Amino acid sequence: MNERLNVTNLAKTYPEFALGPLTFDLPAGYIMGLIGPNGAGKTTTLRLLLDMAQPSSGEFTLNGAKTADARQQARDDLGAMLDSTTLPDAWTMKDVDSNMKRLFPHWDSQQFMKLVAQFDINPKTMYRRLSKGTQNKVNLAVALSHHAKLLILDEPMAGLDPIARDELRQLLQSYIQDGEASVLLSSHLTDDLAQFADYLLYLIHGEQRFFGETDTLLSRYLLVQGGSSELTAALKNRGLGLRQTSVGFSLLLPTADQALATGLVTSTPDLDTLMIYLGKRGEDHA
Amino acid sequence: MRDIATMMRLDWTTTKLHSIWWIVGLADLALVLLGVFVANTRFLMLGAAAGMASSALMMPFVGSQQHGLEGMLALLPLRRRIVVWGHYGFALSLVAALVLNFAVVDGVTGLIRPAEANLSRTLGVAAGVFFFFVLTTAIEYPMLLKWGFERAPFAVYGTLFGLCAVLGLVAYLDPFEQVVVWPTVAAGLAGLLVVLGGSLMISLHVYETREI
Amino acid sequence: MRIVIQNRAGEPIYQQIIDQIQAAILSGELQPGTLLPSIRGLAKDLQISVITTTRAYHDLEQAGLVQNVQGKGTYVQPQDPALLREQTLRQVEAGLQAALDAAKIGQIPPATLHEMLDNLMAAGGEDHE
Repeated sequence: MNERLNVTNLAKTYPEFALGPLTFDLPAGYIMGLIGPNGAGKTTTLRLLLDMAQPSSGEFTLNGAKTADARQQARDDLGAMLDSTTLPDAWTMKDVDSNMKRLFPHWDSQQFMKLVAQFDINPKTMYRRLSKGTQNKVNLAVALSHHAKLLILDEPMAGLDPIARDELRQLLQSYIQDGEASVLLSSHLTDDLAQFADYLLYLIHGEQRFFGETDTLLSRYLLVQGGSSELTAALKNRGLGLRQTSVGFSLLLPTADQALATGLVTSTPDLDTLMIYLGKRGEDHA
Repeated sequence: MRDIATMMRLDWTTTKLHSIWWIVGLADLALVLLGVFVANTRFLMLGAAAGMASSALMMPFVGSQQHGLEGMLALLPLRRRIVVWGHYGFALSLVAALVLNFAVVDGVTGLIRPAEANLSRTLGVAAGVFFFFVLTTAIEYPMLLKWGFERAPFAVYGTLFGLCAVLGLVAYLDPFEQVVVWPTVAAGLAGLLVVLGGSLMISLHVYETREI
Repeated sequence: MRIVIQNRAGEPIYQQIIDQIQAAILSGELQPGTLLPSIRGLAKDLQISVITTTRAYHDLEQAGLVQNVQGKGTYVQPQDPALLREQTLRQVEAGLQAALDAAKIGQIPPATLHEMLDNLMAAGGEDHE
């Protein structure tokens, strides 16, 4: 099987923050969502994958390339967009097009100008005069316009209204239609993602809490609700993210322990709920 | 080779290309006109070339909103060593262009004031300017590549200030009165090459693992 | 061809797809030999993940309702009436067993169960979506 990404024990240590070890794969033709609270390490992970920072340990293969140098040479096969992605101040969209044509062997001018129009960007305005949000859209358009086999996008949905988000979703699902290209995107708008992401990588405070098929994560826990008197010691022990109010309690219970919740109100949590209960630190005990 | 040319071209197009040639053209015109009325505009030319070269040399590192363009470069199919070679190539081509420009303006001024025309003096000053700016590049670029523009202001301005002081001193002492001594020039050139080579090696090493 | 999914229906999406395609095949709405939408095309149309549609089609194939032909697509299989009846009987049995299990937990007496069944059948056992 073709893998666009193959990551083994990737880790990075900063003075104030430690990320990893991370281990995950992304096969060709699928979408992976990178989720977690703010500060969990999502952007750091993407920066490692883009060789913008060197890992402290571990290794990874991207589009088949195992070294930073090889990956850098094969950038034509990779389309990326982060907050730090930028273009020269004075370039207009036409300048972007003519320059990228020289830089990327598979640059598709038609595709780029089509996206520029779709994103409502004035092709004659200089980059520095565009709003930050529009600049992000330009960088996204560039990433999508050279037939890259892997897209790495950092919070592409952020700052977009629901209509724009839906358009982006359509773009991304079309992008993987041929079963060759894959997409890795980070997002804190998780409910959207849970719908169409095939895989999820869930980070909390630098740690990899989950990697696998979206459905697997969502069926891992039950949301249990009941009256205060129904909160048993066993539930407290096995449950996570316990919330107690004057009108009862709620917590997440591993599906394996569902017998403990007999007679109580149980439901399958959506991704947002899951993340809320697991919290910033991924409370392991109630 | 082609990649380095691509990178150099990228540096030229990302700098505010249009404005620099306008400024150079205007400055040239002003200097020539001034030469009609004032003697020894050579030193003014030096100052103008100095100012232009200093700011132009830093352009590859000042991209969008005072941040560098490293964020863009990381996503382009250009290896890090190519980026470094390209930056140096840009600097050298820029300095060569400005020095040539100076020589031409000086030549034209010489036509207006034949009494002051002095080929060896012009050559000497051109060589001096060339040395100065290659030195500037050699000292600044490793710092800019390691820290980026935002974090290296003191180093950059410090270098400029220091070298400008040296240049001022040299201009004041004006050793170019004598006929240019070729062995001295050859030795100077060799020394410059060594310094530049060393600078390039440091830059290559520093940028290879630089965090963006 | 009609597939409508609901995100918050409680039932997993892949199951909703299976149920609807199965119903369409069993009712004859989808004739044997019909080419179903591609796995990727369906995922995009329904705005869901490829893994979900893959799973649905896989389970349908396991149940003998469709066949995935490499490189061509997924085709509706002709159904054996006896086999169909057998499958439907099994489904009904599973449903009844689930009801019995729930009744046991809630301690609902058999008489009430029979009453409930009669009421439901009287109401026509209509499709409630």
